[in-house]
Amino acid sequence: MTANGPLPHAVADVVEHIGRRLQKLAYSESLNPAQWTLLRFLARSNPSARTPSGFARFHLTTKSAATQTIDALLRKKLIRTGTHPHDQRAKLLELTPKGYRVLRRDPRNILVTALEKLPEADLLHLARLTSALAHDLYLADGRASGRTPTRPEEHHGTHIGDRGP
Amino acid sequence: MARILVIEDHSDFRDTLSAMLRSADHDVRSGCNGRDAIDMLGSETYDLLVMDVLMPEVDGIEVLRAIEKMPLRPPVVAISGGGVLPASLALSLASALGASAVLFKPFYRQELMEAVNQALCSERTLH
Repeated sequence: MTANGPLPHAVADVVEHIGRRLQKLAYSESLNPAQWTLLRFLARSNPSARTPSGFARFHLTTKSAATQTIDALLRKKLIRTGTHPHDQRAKLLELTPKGYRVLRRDPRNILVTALEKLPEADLLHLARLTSALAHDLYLADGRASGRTPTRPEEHHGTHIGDRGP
Repeated sequence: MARILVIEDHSDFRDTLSAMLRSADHDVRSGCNGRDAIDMLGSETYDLLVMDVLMPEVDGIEVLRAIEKMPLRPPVVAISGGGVLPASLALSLASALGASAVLFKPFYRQELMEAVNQALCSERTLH
């Protein structure tokens, strides 16, 4: 037991509970958590990143798993393939109007709404604390599993970071 | 014209980023890791920090934590394509710690310039 007594265990229980609750909520609108993540990714990322490999890196998953998620949303007509605004040769993924409509019903909004009710100072404090926790947790997990950051293999012209971190 | 510090551990990316920003008439300095960022921000004033989030040893998250209390902390454009953390988490963490704009790799020059202009116009601070 640390100097903080049982409190770290109690907070860990709460964080785990929130995670489980959100995971359960994410099975809605006939979508799964990875599919919601793809919808959010396409809504907020810069256009050049909206590729299958970009989504795989965003979600830290394999390209085949990312492809399955993409194919499912293409079948549901929530996303479509489009052309990059700055490069007519590049094919990018984008949300359809139906995809935007579904995303407005994102089950995660229940958490966002609760957070929006917090005073700004509390929210900023929470942001710092959760960021520090997530960062430390992932780095500890990476060290334990022996993962290292990926390395760039190449980049072309003014299109930066196509295959690197 | 703004005075911009570029922090990126991969020399090719760092050179390309710097060249893009110089082509827009910005005064650009660069460093190759988080320790450089903290040292350079502590000794000189910059209008903007453009920084890769995931770097070996001292990463961008640690830089954002370290410079949080700096009185003249510049706005930050955080960049990531993932690595030891998913890019989604890296950039969410950077936003939570005060980055004014985030960019997923890969990106084009126009997207970089939009993020830079957004950050330079931003008045957001965490002081």
